[in-house]
Amino acid sequence: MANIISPPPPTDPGIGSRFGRNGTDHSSAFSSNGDRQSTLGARWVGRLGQFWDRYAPFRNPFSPKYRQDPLDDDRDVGNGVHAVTKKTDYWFNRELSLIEQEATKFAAQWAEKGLPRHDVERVGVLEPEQVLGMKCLELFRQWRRRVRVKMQDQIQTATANLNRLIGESRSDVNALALTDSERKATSAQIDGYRQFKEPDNTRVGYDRILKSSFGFWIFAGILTIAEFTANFPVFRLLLPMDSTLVQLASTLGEAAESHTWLAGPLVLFQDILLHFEAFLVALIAVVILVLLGKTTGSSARSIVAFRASESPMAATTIRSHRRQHIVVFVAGLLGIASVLSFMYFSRAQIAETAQSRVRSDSVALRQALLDQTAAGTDLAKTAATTQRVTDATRTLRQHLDDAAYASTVQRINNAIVWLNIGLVLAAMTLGFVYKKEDLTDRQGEHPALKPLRAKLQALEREALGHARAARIAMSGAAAEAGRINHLLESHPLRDWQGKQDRLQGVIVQFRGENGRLRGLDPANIVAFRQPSTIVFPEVDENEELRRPTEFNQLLEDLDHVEAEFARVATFAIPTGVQPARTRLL
Amino acid sequence: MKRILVVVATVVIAAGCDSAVGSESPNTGHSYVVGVDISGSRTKAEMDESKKLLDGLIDRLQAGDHLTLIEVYQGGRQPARQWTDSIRSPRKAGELTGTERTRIEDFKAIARMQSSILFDSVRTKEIQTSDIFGTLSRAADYAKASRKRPTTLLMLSDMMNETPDVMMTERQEIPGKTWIRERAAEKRIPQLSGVCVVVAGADVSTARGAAIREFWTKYFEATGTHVSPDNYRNMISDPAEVSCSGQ
Repeated sequence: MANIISPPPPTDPGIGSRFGRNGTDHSSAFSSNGDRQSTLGARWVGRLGQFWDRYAPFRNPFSPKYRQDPLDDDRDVGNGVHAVTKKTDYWFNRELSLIEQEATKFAAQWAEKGLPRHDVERVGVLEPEQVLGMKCLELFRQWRRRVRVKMQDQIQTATANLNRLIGESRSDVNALALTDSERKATSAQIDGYRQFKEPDNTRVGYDRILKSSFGFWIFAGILTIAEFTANFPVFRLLLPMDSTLVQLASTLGEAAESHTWLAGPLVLFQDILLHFEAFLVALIAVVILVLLGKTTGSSARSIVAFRASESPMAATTIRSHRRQHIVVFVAGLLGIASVLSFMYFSRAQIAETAQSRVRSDSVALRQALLDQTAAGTDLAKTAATTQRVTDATRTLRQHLDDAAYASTVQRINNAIVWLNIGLVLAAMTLGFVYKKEDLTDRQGEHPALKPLRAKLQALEREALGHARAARIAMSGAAAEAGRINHLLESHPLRDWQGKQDRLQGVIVQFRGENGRLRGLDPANIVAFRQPSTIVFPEVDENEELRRPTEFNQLLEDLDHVEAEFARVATFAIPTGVQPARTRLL
Repeated sequence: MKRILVVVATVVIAAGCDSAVGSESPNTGHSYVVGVDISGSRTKAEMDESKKLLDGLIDRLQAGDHLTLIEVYQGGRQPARQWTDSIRSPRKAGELTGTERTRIEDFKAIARMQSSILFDSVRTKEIQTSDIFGTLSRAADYAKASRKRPTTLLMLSDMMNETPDVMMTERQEIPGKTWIRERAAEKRIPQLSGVCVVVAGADVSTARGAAIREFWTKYFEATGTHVSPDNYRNMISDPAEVSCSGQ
């Protein structure tokens, strides 16, 4: 019989840890507050010890402290009967140990007093034996009750889990069926869009706004000439001729003057050819500018003319086409900006360049005048120096005119930039209106197909997830059902006889210890000749545990869910193996 | 379009190149050989008149003309005291281009500059002698090199030769026909056939001047040309008169 100082059953799983009780430290096994509950601090210590045992870092793997005994199967308790009764058995052993200690204590106390007298026969049961017997009887009853209660609790818990897992399975199966419906609808939509055909008369393309090729080339030539005429003088000032070319230009100019009304264009043309470097630079710059403008304008039309949403079947081609032309458009704009910037900064420098030439010519003129003075009355030298003075004066005058022109150009540089921009815009417009394209040879598909395919893929992934979750839930439910069956048929009280035998040994221990302390053979003590058997109640070892009332219904539900899953899985799982159906009843 | 541009360019370049070649035509223009006498025997007024006539002649120069200036006092023996140059002939006769006009103006400016140097009043006082014979010899050489141009020899001089062998300061010292014949026999007289000779600045009013004119008339005949009395004058006011009838 347990008394009030009996320690509480070890419900704390931390027992056995290095911070908790290991069953040998009896002084710490008792509750200090007398309510059979361990103190809060002890609980925390126990939990901390459990945590440390499980996750302790820096532990030495070679330490014998943490080395597990491979033959100790108590560590793999699982979810079976042993897992349920293991702690109860431990509790029983500990309580029995306390009673045995108490028996030893009683034996010592009585032996110290010389009791019971070895030669006096006692009528009735000795008081210590009576106390010990009642405690053993109480301990046996508690053990029986704890075993049944614990087993029944486990069965109920497993039943609840079974119920939950069946619910989850049913939910996943329903979700699987739902995704199948959505997938079918989505597939039908995809098939519908795949079979979608645009009317044959729909043309993806556009014609030229300016239809005349002759007109195009005329305008292109005009633009080029205008750009060239506007910019060539600037380059002519920037890149002057050498003296040989100047003389040649004079001779050619003289020849051109004789052509009367053609003299103007001829002089200009000769001037252009004689300023060949300037001509080349100006021509290349202008041609590049016009070409860039035309190309940029053409690309702009390609960009704005097509829209994937307007021609869904050519969407892929249109997108590819637009990407390419966006690159061309951006490159063209950058090129135009570069050329215009080059021209702008060139014009900004020509005044300084022209002024430097004027300074140089002034120096040359001064030198010629000095030479003329030095020639004195020498007729031969005077003629040459006078001619040189005349030439230098004329060159200076020409360069003064150039400097004035350059200053004017520099002053209206911003206006010229706007003129250049206007001409470039004209070239862009020309390219825009002369562009024609035909993308009828389409390779695209309906734009709605892409999101629908993505949705279908997501639904398939979702279906696989639901199928997997349903399988896991059903597998867990089957395991729980099997466990419940196992627990119901386990007969945990089958070793009740062993427990009683151990409890019977308490009286024998008391007598033996008393005799040993007194130096007597317990058989020679008359009071110990009375039988020491404790009368325990009969136990029906085949007594069955109470079967949960809803267990059969749950098994039927599980069976139904599995059948439903097998049915749905045949059409709802996109890929994968169909689950095998398991009968648990 | 490209073909048109190519053709136009070819024509223009060909025309320009064709016109640029052969800048001077050998048979165009007039050649003027001017002897300038600034010796001390001439007065300042006479030299001013001579300079004015020379400047007028320079102003009348045209494209293709050739001008040679020779200082008389040293007989044209020093290169520094003579100058010859020509104006490039026009590419088309009677149609002067702007460049050609510019070139003519440049030439005239240089010629005026040479004229002002030759008539430098400071140097006039330093020169006391005149070598007319040497000057005529050098003029004959220039006339021969004038490429068959009509050549005019203008002597801006009083025609008084003042060299050691012939001094014309006195009437009796002026050589006669015999002297000319001897020189001709020795082929020491320059050849000026076909050259129009005009004298401006000579003394035609005194007996000595008449004797000098007589001498030079015979002398020029010996050179192969003829100097009419109208071209042997003290002063010519109009440069247009610097010519010979029939030329």
